[in-house]
Amino acid sequence: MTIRKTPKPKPRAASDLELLRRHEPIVRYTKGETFFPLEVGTYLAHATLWERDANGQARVLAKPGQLTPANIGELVADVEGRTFLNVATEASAADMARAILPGQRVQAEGFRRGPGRLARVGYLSRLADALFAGSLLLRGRVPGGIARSSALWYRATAPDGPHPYYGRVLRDAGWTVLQYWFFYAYNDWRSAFHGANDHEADWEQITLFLSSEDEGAPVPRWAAFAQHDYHGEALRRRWDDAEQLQVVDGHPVVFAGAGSHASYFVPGEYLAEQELRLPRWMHLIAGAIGRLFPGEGADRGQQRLVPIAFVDYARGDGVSIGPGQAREWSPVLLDETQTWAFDYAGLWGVSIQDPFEGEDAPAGPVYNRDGSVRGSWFDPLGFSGLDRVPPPEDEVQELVNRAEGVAAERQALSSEIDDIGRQLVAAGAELEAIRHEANLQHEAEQVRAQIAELRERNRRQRLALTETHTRGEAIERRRERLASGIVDAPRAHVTRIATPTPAGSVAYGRVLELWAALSIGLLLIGLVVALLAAPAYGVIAAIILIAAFVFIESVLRGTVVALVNTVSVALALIASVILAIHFWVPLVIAGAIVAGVFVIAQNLRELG
Amino acid sequence: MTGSIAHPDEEAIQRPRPRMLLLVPVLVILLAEAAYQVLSAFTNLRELGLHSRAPAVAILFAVLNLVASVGLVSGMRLGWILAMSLAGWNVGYFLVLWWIGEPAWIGMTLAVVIVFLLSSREMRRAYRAHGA
Repeated sequence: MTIRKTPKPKPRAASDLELLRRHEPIVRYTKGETFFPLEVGTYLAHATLWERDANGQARVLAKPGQLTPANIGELVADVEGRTFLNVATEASAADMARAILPGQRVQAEGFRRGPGRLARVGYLSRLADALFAGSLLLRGRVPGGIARSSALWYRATAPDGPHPYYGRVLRDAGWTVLQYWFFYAYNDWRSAFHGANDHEADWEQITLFLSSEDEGAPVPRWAAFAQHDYHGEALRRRWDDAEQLQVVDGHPVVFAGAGSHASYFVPGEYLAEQELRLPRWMHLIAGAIGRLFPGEGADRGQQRLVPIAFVDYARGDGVSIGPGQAREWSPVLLDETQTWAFDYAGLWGVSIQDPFEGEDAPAGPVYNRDGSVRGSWFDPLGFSGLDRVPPPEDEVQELVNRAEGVAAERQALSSEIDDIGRQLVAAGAELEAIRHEANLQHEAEQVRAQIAELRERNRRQRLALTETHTRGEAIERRRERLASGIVDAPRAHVTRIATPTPAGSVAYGRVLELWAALSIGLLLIGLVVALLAAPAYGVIAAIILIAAFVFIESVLRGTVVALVNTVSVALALIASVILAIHFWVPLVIAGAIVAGVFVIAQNLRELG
Repeated sequence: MTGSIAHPDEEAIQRPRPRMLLLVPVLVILLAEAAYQVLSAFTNLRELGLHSRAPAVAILFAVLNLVASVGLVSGMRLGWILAMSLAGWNVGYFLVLWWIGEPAWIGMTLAVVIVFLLSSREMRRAYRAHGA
């Protein structure tokens, strides 16, 4: 069976493949990872191709053994419904039953669970986690048995040989872009590593951006890794940023999340975060309180992040694939000859029609789940926020060009200002001549209006000239800095980057982990019992119960002092408002007296 | 010798002391409250229209106020924690009194003043009461 149509080698393709190989990554997995990059042909050979029509009815388009990378495009050419592939659920009932028997563990073998994920977050995040778990019942989820049977299938089917990546090379705006796509048979983050989701098949990618000086070989400048919750500039690191990017003989090192296969620059355990979008007035109040009562966290800036109780383990202590590693790559150039990538826009795995898509399989490297083209495919520079950044060797010239443009703008503005000035003086002279003439008052008014308009134009253009001058100076300063070899800080382009949880902060005790696992459930049960037992005191009972839970949590975390301070200050603020409202008349009188005494004292000091 | 490891005594010397402007009012209020609690335990303030706790509770609070005062004067972290806990408790207590229509304005004002003084950056630094 033909698994992949071998493209006829072309001179450009050969050099592209060479370039891909020169900088292909080293991917380090977490111990316990089950699924590694797989050739699409192997997957397709065992997959069923389905079509789901507008009524939700699914029908088989091709059975296992009938699909190849070469023919999948033809098979879906005239299909109107959504298409998806499916390997995992092809397992027989006997295989699925066998997969859950003791001793048949094929996922997360040797994986060491970190400190409890729930203990890493507070009550709100735990509540969100409970709601999320509940939502899976409504949304539907990929059954855990499928993950296990898929793991068995993968173990039996996947070749032991080198692992493929699908490499793409494109040239855009002076950059040479190398994209490496990795295909996995399954994402078992939830079922094997307590993560957020499971889905059949997984496409992950990293992108390198190269540029060259004087027609020489292109050299890597930036690396962008696809990560959860991060977009644009936050995805990329500069090639010389040794703290954030490990490079071994020209090959970047990627730390893949266990089960999720998300790519990280630094090994560690990553707690998912979600930016909290509060209304502006709440930010203002929080900022004002923070300034009034500054604490340790007062300088954290405007971003308020809510941790989510899912840990992505990217420890890099398991299998490594790449140059010089125990396992090697077998690259496939992802060009127009790989028709499956362009002609098949359906899902690469079973679709459970999850409205949030977290449990749905992904589409291929070119497409999104809805059939639109991925941003990372049609605009990799924009996807990584590099579309506004010139290659380093071009930046000085870009600045020179820009400075010339600004100088021309300034020249034009100066001429215009001179012209306005002449018109203004002429109009002023005319006004002086006619303003005392009784029969020319109407004309004098018109000239006054003309002067007012000229003055406004003059003001605007002079302001623009000043700004242009300042812009020109800033451009010149940067040009000089770059020309003298001074470069920006490696992370000057980002405000927030994915950071693993520091080792010291995850040393939780077993009691806290147990409490974290029980607390939300106990709290909900306690609230219900309190409301049923004493409905008249329900609110008071709920407040006391929540306060008790908060206190227990702070004792276990050793944050009693912070709790005492926060609660006391909050109560004091409420009491202050009550006092101010109740005593507003004496307060106003006292304020007026103090102000009066102050003014008198100031004035008397001047006399003395 | 490496300069990074400070001797405990050296650390104590380097630690900033709270300004008397902050500390004295706190001590005065704590001691005044202790005196008031003792007074309320042995007299009939309630009959005079003044608010008072049950005698046993009043004595307990008086003792705790004294302990907190001694702790603050000695520069102990526990003194700050106890003083802040008492002040926070008092604010909550006076808020409840206000809610049920029996406000004790002077007590509430004094408790609020103590909370704000103790929560100032200088005081928290002096008593190592930053966060955890």
